[in-house]
Amino acid sequence: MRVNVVAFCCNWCSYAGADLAGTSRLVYPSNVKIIRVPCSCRVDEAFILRAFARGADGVIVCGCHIGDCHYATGNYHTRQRMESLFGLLAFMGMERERLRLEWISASEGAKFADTMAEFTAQVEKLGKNERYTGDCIKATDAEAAEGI
Amino acid sequence: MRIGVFVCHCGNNIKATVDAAYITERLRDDSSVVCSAEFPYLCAEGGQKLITEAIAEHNLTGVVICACSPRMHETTFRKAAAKAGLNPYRLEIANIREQCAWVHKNKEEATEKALSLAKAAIAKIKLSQPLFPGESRVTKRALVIGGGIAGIQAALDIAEAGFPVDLVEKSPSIGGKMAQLDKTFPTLDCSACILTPKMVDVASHEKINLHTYSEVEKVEGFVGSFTVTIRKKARSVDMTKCTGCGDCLAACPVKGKENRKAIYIPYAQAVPNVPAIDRESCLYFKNGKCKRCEKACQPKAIDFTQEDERITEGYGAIIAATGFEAIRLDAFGEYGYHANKDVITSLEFERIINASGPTGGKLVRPSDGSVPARISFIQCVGSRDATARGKPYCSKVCCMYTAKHAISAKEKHPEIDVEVFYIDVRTPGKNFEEFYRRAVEVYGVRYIKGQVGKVIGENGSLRIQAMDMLENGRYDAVTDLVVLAAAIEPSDSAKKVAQMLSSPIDANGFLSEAHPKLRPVESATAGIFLCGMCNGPKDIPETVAQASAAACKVIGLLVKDQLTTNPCTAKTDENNCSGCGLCAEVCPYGAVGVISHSTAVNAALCQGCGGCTVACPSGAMNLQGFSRAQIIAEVDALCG
Amino acid sequence: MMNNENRCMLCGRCSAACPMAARMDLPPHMWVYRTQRGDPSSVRKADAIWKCLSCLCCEARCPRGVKPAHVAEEARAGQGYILEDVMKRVDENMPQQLPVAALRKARG
Repeated sequence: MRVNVVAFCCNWCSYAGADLAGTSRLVYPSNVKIIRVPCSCRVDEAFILRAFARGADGVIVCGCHIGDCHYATGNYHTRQRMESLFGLLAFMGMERERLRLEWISASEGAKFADTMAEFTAQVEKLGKNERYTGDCIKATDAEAAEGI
Repeated sequence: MRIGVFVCHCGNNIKATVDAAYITERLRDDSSVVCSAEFPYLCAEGGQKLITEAIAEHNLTGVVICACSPRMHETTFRKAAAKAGLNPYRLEIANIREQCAWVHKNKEEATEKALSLAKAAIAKIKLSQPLFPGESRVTKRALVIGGGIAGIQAALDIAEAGFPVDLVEKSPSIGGKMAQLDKTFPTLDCSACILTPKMVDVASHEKINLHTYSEVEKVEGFVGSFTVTIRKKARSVDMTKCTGCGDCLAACPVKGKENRKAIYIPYAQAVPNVPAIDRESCLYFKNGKCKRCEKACQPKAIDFTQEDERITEGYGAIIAATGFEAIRLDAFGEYGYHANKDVITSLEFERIINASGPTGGKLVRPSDGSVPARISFIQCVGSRDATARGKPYCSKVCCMYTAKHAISAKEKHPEIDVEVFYIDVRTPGKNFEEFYRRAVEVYGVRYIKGQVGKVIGENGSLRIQAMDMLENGRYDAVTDLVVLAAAIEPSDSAKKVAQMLSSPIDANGFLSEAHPKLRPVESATAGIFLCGMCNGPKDIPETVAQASAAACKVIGLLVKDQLTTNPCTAKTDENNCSGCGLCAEVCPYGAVGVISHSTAVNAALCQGCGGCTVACPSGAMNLQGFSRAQIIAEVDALCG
Repeated sequence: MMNNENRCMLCGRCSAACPMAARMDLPPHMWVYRTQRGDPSSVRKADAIWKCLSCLCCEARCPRGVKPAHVAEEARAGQGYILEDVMKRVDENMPQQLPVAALRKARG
């Protein structure tokens, strides 16, 4: 089964970088679907968890490089919140590698394509997300055996 | 809701990879979609007509366009919607070209993905609201950062249009690199002669405020209402009293940096013609002695107690014109630049042949002051270099200035043997090719296709080991002066300035334009404009053209009394807001105010980043145009 | 493929830097050019590849990241390593590094 990758891209840098990958005709896997946001700081943790709950197998959040955020400080907040979210996912027993934070500028079309290809390959190796679907965290077999 | 969907073929750009007919058909499955059509070029007049007529005919309350990137034509399609009487923010674009058809090869996969993206756009539009732009003020004053020819030209054009402009330059005089040049290609005009009248105009123009020996320290705000803090460094000279007589220079006993005195005027035609004291080499600032300049100064203009001054000013638009430097040659040891006095850079050669330079215009070797019998010019030192020590781009001006140097050398001493080692000779401008051919055919300059492997000092001369590619053999010779055409790079302040302006820079440190073809003098950040070398290698005519273009954009902005603001701003639901103020803390623009247990967003200041929306613990804050419900609907559509 | 000869822009820095180029029948840039043009056999036949010291100056100076010295190694490796044959190609007046370089296996 094909893995589903959702990418949140900020309008000013990473979404433009994705467009540049397009105008440069660089190829990357079609598993990746992009949602445009004004700034990476718009990405609420709830959106990411919702994506996993609804069938995403990997989520990548892309923003401007630190220091270059179009809204001055937005990506600092993104960075800090994503750190917390990585912790939450670990607590939930989900693989950390299903979530990625990447800074991609408007001139980095090649980096965008390479990152998407790499991330998709990584998610494919992890397989479909079966740990957190619907709105439940499914117990692993081991946890079920212990009656958790 | 009554939604109209329009799928663009974009000629074959989309159609070749995405089955437009299939998508157009499938999207009709959604009961809200009352009209679904495909078209070869939606951005063209015919396409626009299709959309506007459909809005009227089907009473559409929402439109989804499946086409190229919204960064391309969102404005175009929004205007079309508005013309047809539909609120322009009831229109959403699915990017099925740059982010689908152009990046995937498999037709089935690309089509399925395009369908998914379209459904996400439909899901988003269903939850949209009509939005209305606000208005923000325009401070009718411009700031130009950088006082070289680019900044000078831009400032003059803006001032001539009647707007006040502040020109900030970090060195004690305006003029930049052009002031250091002897002659300019291809006309061989005297550089200072064509530049100084403009410099004088800048100094005397009533609408231009010149801040030399100053730097921009902080930039806040956004287009129409920037607030900038400028640090005016202490010259230790009172500019209101100084007459430019130069007695202080004569009195100073110190040789400071670059062979100048501790108190110095950068060059004879400096504007303003007021010296500055380099506090690092001045004896008074180092150990409290001397003060001869103060004694010599009749108008009593020397002021050792002077301190840096900070001023804060409001501007509607800012132009970045920070210029360039030549790269350092530390990583290019094979040319022997640091080991031999007679291996110099092109800029140093320019200064030698310049009558106002260190040798008074005599073309002599730095080591012994003799006239060289042979000069060897080496091109592309650090340019066209994909390795870590160089720059991958072509520096654009070197082929031309080397031809100019060769001609200048021959003009001064026809008997000098001049050779140029090149990879290619690039002559992209008007009369440039003819100029280069003159150097070869009229002046007898020898152009050798090939490069130099090593330059070794030997017995007061220089031995070069090179390769002649057309002879396909080694070329080993003895020469007297080697001139290196070092690559250019953006000036060291460029990155700092770019970050202060929130203006993007590319991998080479140049400030990026909003669109390389169609918006060459605008930064992606509204209200910031670019001109000159800070944006990429270019010669003087291109720089001046860009400067005037940037000025034109600034004037277009400043003539407006109001700017329409982005309507996708944050908004508080007072019913859910407790006034905790986390949103206000996160906002980079101070757009959120906390007022008695609630908050309110100033739509004129809000730039729509959405940071407050995510910080809000109760969900009271939301972002119009990218609301919580809308993004969740997109997520559901893409993952389903 | 050890390196992409298509990157070469024929600037000649490799040959200019090469300490042995003056004594080569085919200078380093030509090894790359001939390989680019689909004629590697002329490189294998050249005496020049046996004069290469593997000092890697050419690679250090190349602005495009092309590796002429590796092209020479591939050319040498492609001919097998029969010691007597190798020593016939090598000039006895050559510096000592050469035989070592000549016998080194081509590495990626």
